[in-house]
Amino acid sequence: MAPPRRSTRKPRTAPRAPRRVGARTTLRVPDDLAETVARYAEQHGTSTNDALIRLAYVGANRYDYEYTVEELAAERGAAIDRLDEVDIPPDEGDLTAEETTRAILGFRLGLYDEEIYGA
Amino acid sequence: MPDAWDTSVASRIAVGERHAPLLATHLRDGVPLALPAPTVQEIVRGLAAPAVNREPTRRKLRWFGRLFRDPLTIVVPFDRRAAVIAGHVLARHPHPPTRNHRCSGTRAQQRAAWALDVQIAACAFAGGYGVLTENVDDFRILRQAIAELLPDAPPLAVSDAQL
Repeated sequence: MAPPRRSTRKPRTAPRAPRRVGARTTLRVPDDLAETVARYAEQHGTSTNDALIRLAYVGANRYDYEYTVEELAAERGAAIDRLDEVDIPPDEGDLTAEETTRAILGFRLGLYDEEIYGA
Repeated sequence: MPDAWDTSVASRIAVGERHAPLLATHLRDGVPLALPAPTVQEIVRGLAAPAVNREPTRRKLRWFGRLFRDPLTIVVPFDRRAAVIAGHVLARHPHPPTRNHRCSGTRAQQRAAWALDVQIAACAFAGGYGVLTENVDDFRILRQAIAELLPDAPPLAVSDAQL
């Protein structure tokens, strides 16, 4: 009986993560996250360490995006809120009901010259 | 600064269309895509119109519907602040600035389009975005109009989608 043939394939090794520069750290990866990381690593043919870093970049980019937008929206929003903070002389009086209606609904009611109002 | 896509860009992002690579890049990299609420309105209104109610149109409407619901899609709201700034801008600039150069649409349609552009710019500005558009000339005028109203606020960035 012939001896069993030995495989000529090299033993499978886990993919190595690309070398990165930065501080080393040790962290505990929650089980549910570890499952996702392992699936990502298998899908993309990389190590679990690399998968963890890539997914962290995705989250960090999303955070940066939202932070940038929120900061800008807050600054612009504060400026918009100051729009109606204008000093009005006390003797100016108020609009009459008819004047208010004309000002706000004039566009819909066709009360304005369209060349002036743009209606 | 992230950009919100105006209708001239967002309407051309399906596979095979001019700005499809832009959408593909966002989806590949997991970067959110921001659509102002009036742009969503324009897309749905255009594809849901009875005049174009054919099967391919309904399919495209469904495609956009899925895109609007995608977790990566942010519909930038026409909220209180956007409405206030849009009102101020429209009061000062009721006419489309390029109306004498536009050859398509009736004057009423051009005015409606201008009002939508004002709302889109207002959504982007109040929401903390810039605008990516093919209609750069009009949006630069809107950027200037907002800057005159709010000189201390970070200005609206306008990026040319045709570059």
